[in-house]
Amino acid sequence: MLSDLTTGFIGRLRARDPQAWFELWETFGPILRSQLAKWGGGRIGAETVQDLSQETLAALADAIDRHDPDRGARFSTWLLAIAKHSLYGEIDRRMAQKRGAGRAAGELDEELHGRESAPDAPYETAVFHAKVEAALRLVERESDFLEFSVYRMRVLDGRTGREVAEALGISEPTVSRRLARVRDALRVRLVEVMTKYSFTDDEAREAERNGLQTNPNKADDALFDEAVAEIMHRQQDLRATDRAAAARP
Amino acid sequence: MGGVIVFVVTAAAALLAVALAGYVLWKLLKGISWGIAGLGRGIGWCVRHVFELVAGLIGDSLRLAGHLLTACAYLPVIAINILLGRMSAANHYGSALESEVLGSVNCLYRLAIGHVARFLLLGPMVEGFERRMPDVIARAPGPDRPSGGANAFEGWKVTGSLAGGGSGGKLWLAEPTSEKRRELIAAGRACPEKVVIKSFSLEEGSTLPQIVRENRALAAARELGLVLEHELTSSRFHYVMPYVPGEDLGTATARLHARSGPMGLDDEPLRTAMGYAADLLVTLDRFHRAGLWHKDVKPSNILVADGRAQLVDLGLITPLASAMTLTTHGTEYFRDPEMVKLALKGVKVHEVDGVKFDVYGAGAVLYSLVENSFPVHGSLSQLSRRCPEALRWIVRRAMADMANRYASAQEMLADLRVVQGAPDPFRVRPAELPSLVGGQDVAAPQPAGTTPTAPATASPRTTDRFAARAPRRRLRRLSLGRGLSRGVLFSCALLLMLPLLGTWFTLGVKSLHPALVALRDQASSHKDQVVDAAPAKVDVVSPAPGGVQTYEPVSLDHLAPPAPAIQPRTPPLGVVLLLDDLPDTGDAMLGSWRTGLADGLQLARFALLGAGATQDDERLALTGFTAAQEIDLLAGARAAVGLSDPSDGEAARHLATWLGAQDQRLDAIVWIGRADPQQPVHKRVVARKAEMAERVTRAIE
Repeated sequence: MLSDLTTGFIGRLRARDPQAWFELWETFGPILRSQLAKWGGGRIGAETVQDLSQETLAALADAIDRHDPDRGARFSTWLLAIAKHSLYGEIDRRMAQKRGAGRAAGELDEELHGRESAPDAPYETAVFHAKVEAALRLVERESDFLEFSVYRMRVLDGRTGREVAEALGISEPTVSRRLARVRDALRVRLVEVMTKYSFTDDEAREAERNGLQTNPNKADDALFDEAVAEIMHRQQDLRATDRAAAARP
Repeated sequence: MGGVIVFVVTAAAALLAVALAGYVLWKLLKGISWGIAGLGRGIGWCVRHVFELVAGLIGDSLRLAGHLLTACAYLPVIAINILLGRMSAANHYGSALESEVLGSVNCLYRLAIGHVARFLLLGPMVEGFERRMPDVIARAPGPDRPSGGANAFEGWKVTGSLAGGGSGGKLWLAEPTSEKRRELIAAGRACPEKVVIKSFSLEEGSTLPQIVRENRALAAARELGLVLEHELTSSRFHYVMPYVPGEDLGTATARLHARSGPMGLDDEPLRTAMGYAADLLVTLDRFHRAGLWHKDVKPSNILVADGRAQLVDLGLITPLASAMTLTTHGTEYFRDPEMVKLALKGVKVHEVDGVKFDVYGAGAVLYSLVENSFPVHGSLSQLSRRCPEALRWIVRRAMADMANRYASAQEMLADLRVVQGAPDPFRVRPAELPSLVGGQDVAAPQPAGTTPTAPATASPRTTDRFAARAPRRRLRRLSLGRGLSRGVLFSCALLLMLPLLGTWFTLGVKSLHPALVALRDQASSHKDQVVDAAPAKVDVVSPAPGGVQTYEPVSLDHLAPPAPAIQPRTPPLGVVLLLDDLPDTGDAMLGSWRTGLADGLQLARFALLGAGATQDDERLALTGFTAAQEIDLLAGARAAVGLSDPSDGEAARHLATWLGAQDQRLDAIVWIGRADPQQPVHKRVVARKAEMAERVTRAIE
């Protein structure tokens, strides 16, 4: 069953809200581009993959109308089916404009649930990482700059509490308090983001399965921080690869 | 007993031997199956490799045939157009033919070399031809001379060309002729040895929107004194700027990193990099003070020479107070994603804080200086190379969310100066930066290149100061009990105060009235003081202007589809063109004065051209002109007055001459501007008839 957050977001996509599409593309764009380039095996140029514009995606937003939760399709599968369909549309348009762009709706359904678009484990992991990054971005926007800087230095840069305290001219207990505040906020946001971008219960529980306990628990804090740092470093690598591919002529 | 032991041992040995044999057999089978699978994979790879070669050869053969057939189809079309004298159409089909021929050459290359090389596993060897070379060719400068030859621009001798950017214009390197040199010196202006001429020619592929956008950039460049001269003719628009030699910051950064090694910048290159960033911030601050938003801050738009960095490319410059809709123009990774979101929302430029978007760009440039890479992760990008902690802080603060970002380039510069000026930048703690200490006075502008001094070490405890900077959060930190008790106390006090407040309001307001009036008068006098407009001067078009340079009327209408004739609903008293040469500094008083001037004219029943984007259809319907004609008129009038201000009588005569050559429906021009920000605003009325000039003058006074 889809949550209110998910249906609300999908509703905005269906209403062609450009900001919702931008949000979707900003969060999952690099993963989709990387997956499509991988499938293309070098046959699909970086330029074509980059050209999967928001408008092209928006034109396919009604794919969700045919989404049947009972068939167990995941959000990640739906996302990939749309992106792939857009890619074909783009190629169709370029290579044979007279044939008409796009494909029939029935074909999209087949892609949505068919073997061809079944995503692999690395793709699923990348989608999960993108969700964590989206949650962290939300927290960054909401937090006080100093507070988030403490979290960034301590968790993402791997500094000790003492180093952070010295650099920022605050006490170590203050570092701990601010760190805990950002961590708590991140847990709350993580639940929201996971719910928003999940079609199945299995997807919604992904965070806990990957060491990100969303219920505040002091014993899990270190593991939680470590998992976030690891994910963010991988995301950085993914985006760097995506940029390198885009820059390639 | 012995027999039993022998039996047990024998049985155990047999079992062990069986297990061992089974294990060996299992490993053997596994090895064989792995070998078979590997062999299968190898055969599969070979088959796929051959198939890729065959498919590539077939595909490219078909493409080659397609290109050749299409090219053959274009040939008669080109010939027919040449015979009919339709040279523009012939050029168009000629370009299409060129692209088909290029496609054929690519196919031939792939058939003869590319596919074969990849089949022989020599793919990396041909990468240079297939990837790097097209990029280099695409970035190569064009021909060394414009279509009109080396003397195509009067007063300047073209000596070469530069690679153009994305604005659609061509960049020519030129030197002033001896006459031009004398003319510039006589006018008391600096005469550079070399200049860059940015030229847009409709005949050479530039488009009308590009010219209009660049015209806005020109106005900005004029504000900053970067333009020596400009000209707009019926087919070409160009302007001349002093030439800034040097290499782009991306190349300079790569060189700095090559000197330092993979761990990051050494001390000296790090100081050089900080100097470049400081130069950039000084320039940005200058732009922002002039009310301008650069909008495309990135390494390739920064030129470095003699250890100094200079921001160039004015193609996207936008007045901060512009009423235009925000666009997503800019460069990914150096453009704040928030700006894209706002642009998608359809907000206006003046509704956003453009300064902060430039600050984001400056932060991204500083990141690229330190990392020799792009900030691919936006504000969450990791700084993994050698970098002082305080400098990391500056980068992150500049790229933070809008609410947490530096409010100005000057604030960021103040922080950077502290790190730059420290004997050991690695010893500077973020807590010592002025933006954290709260010493905003440290941010006073300093000329680029001067050595700033590091401030005294800050207090080690800045927690309270942070709290003071975030009152909202401090309130949140109050415990529920304390908050509740404060709330109760406040409510009781308010209840007690209510009757007193009521009495004061009833009895006191009337007595306060004169004070309010005085306050209003004071505000009003302040308004007059800020604008300080000089009385309007009047020029009437002379019936036979002699000895005055004439300006060819510009018409770009043939580029736009014919607009339906617009019938004015209320016949106006006359049509007035507002030539507004005042900078858009975002000054509310100046803005309100401008609005007042336009309102005065409209109240006197004049229809206005060039009076902003609001209610365009209605406004234009009254004038009887189309939007394209309005742009045309504004560009023509601006070309007529050049870089002068309304106090210049000679420029006013040029404007009058120009008006005389225009459509009779245009009755008058109101030209407003000032020589510099310290001077009063000048108003100049140029009209066809004395009576009209008098009416317009009355309306604006």
